[in-house]
Amino acid sequence: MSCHTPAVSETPLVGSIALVGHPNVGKSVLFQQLTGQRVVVSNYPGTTVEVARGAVRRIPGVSLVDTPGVVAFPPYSEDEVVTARLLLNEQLHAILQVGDAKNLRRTLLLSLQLAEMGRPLVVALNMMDEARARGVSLDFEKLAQALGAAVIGTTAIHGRGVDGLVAALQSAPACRFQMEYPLEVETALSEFMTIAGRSIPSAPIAPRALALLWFSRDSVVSDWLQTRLDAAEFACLLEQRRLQPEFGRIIQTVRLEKVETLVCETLVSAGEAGTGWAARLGRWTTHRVAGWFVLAAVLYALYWFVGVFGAGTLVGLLEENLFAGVINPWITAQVEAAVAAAWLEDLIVGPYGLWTMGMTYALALILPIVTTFFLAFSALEDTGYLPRLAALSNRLFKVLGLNGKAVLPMVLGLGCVTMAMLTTRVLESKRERLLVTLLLALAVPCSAQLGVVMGMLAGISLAATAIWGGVVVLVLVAVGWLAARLVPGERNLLLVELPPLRLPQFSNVLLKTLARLEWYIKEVLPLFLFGAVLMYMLDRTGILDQIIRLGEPIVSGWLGLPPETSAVFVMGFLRRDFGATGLFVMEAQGLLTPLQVLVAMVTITLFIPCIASLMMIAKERGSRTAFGMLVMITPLAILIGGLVYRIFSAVGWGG
Amino acid sequence: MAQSVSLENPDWIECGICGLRFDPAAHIACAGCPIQKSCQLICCPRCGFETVDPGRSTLARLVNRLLPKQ
Repeated sequence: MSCHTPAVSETPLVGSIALVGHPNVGKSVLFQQLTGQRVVVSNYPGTTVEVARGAVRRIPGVSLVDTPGVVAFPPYSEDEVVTARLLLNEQLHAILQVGDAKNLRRTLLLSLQLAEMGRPLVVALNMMDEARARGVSLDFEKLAQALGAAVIGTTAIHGRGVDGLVAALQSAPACRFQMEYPLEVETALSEFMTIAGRSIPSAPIAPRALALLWFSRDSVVSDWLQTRLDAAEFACLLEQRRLQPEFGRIIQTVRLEKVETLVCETLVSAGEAGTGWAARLGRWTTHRVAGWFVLAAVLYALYWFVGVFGAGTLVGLLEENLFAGVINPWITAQVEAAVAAAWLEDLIVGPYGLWTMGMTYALALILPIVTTFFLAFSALEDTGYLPRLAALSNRLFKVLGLNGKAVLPMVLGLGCVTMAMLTTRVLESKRERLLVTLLLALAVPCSAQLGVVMGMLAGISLAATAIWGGVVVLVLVAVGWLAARLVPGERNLLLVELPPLRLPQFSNVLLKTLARLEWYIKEVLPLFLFGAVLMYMLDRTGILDQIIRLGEPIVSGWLGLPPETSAVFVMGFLRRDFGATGLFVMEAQGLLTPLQVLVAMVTITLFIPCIASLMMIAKERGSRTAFGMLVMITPLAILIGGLVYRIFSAVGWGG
Repeated sequence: MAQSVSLENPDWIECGICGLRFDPAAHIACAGCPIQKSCQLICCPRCGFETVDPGRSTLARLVNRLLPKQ
């Protein structure tokens, strides 16, 4: 913020144009093209968000306001709140929407909302050069007719299309665009106008748009109305909205359907309909049948690279040859010679020692596995396959009847379950957020944990990995199906833009893998050392023996595992992969049969992922919910593990 | 005074899920986090997908210097 400039006032500036659009679509570049260098940047009142203003060079007396990026309304971030407040408080000459021509669906979703506001609107479809290079071709005239607003293709970075924008802005009429919603929504909109119409005669946006935002539970509109309506009118609106909790979703669904119609009518060429190998493979990845075969092939490749090569070959070299053969005997000898106290020697090189457990698990067992997994994951990320996985799994969710929006947090969970829990905020109802959090906590392993579990199971056989995957997906589908029955409601469409499929870039993959490895070591090493100390203390105090004894009826009686596995489950509560590594060591020592490894791995996968995710559940949903989930998930994980044991021992499966 | 902004900035990150290219330095959402200084993770401002920022990793920066520039 410039210290010479006054803070932006909320007093309406006569004749300003709001530059609105998604983050990173070229708004700032277009702002420079239209205003030149005379720019005033200041914080929006009451926020830390910067807003830039400048005089439009070729339209005298009109200023341009560069609003912070907005994805859609209602606003969820501070940036979006500032944009929403600007649109409600400024006396606008026009709205200039900047959208990414390559991401037409997302752009049009915002266009519809802006068009409904009834201000003069001009849509700049930016990055046209990139869109054309991808083969995207649009019928601008038809789109302009449908929206009732000028639509101009621009390449802001080269100044192309700016003349057309200036001309359109000078002559833009008030937008008359209106969409038709289901009868119950239209009735409610009329009632809103009857209640509030007299008090908001000079609203800066169309009263109908205000009503739509109100029913979508837009907090900025709520605040705006509260200051303008009398208490009785506002209470009346609140009561009306309370009775219609589903309206936000219905309005959004109608808009998404309209977007699809507009895209069908105006997109002459989508660009990806090429005939090259990437275009063909890109289509297969989301095909309703071929998509699952492609997914199976991807998982099979992962199995070989991570499981067989990482967990087999690399771990063999590092753990068996280097650590067990050379490093650990040498360190043990040095510690025995240098340390007199038996307890200290035990703490460093004992069965639960800082070196023999903490460091060896992290460096010799986990590191090779996560290195191969992160390499594979970074390559997949760079190819553009992940959004296709979201689109493909959306079909599965559709069959289950779950909300389409639930797909994103579930796929994001493959990156980090804890952060994916945070993204459940995008879901509309409290029950949906709760259910998706439950599914995430129950059956979606994060990238690191998936890598370790796959690596461990690959040591047994491909069949073991397939059974483990099958059981986890079955639990996910069963719980999801049950959840969808318990939480009925309309299903929202999922809007995912698919980038072109491409070959991964070596430098991207390498740098991301290294960054992920550094992050993993920083996060996991202290936790593994803490885990080793905890296990050491539980062992020294005899509590571990008590846990093993108490857990025996469940661990041995129900799950069919050796009693010592209780210790591994304690480790699994800290982090799934810590527990999984313990199982790997037990198997290497000949303490577990292949069936027992499978049962233990299924059980540990269905546990709460890690302490961090449990804390996130407590933060987002409350400690009572977190405790409830822990109490529900732990017995369910044990129940499923026991069933797997009984079923596969009955059929005589031995790996 | 406004600075020239390049849309092809090599330091920007492309989200693996939604394809959004964004400036990792422009996001201040993590400012209140106590481990922010040592954290290498960053979330896409559009879809929330969490990924690593190679620019915040010592190891990745070191190797990046050794890679041939395009």
